[in-house]
Amino acid sequence: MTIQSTGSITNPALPLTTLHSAKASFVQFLTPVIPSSVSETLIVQSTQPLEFTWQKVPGLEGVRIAVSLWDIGGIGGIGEIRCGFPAEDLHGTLPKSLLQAVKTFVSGVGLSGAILRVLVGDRKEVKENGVSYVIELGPDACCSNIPIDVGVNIQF
Amino acid sequence: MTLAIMNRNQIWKVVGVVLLGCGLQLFCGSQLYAQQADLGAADRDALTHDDDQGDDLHIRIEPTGTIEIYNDFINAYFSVGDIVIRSPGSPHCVARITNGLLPFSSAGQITVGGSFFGQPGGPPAPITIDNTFFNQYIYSLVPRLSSSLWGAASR
Repeated sequence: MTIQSTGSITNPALPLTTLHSAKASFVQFLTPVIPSSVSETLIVQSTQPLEFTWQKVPGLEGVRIAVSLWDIGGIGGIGEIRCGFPAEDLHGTLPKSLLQAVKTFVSGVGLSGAILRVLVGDRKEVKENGVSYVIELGPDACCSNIPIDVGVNIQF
Repeated sequence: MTLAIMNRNQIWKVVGVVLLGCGLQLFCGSQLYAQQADLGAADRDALTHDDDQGDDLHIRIEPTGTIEIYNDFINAYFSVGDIVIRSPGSPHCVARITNGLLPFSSAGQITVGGSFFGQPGGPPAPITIDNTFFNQYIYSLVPRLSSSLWGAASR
């Protein structure tokens, strides 16, 4: 899969970037434990790292687990944390330092809503020329035991 | 525009500076990209500096973009400048903050090629996507979904 953009006066062009789809058919995550009911939300403590672990299956070579915790609301802004973990590592950590930083900048107090999205595929952040372009690739349903968008409450 | 490399305890001291920077984005608009291009080696060195404190964070204001490519749907949006936070100990992650008031910005035309989208086989030719009126980029194999999102796209 290739992607590029022509750019504009405000946003530099995205150079030709290649991502790869996953060969693995299904990835079973052990953590975090997603509530079985859609009416329940996953509770994330901002004082602790959010750990992701998953079982080894064939076809993880070159695959990345794209983890996005986004739409983190607060009176000071909207935050997000986007990660891409090598699938062969069988684990990835969304660090508490970034959770705490987001809390500070969005002026989060108490509970804040957010959405967790996990994709099995590929993820890159293009950082050249002083930009942060995050590209995530993956099927939106099929490939793990974590549903496409999970409601989250972040405990600030 | 490197703002700081700091310990978490120092973040509050620069929140005001960052907010001022956001205000400058509104005021300066398109000049931000050019300013960043002039920062040069000093800022790059600062970004790679690591004083062995695992909680040090690198905080900048940068043009940002998010491109999500699913098997049946592509969604992308860009900003002229969000707060971008990185932790040297977590190279696989980035945090970003938007104030939620700035509109999306244009990033020109996006071209997506390859066989993943619309599997199996993929599209016969690369897909080109232009921005909507709200500067969101949407391409869907489900026409009704694309149509509804076209009208709903706003930050």
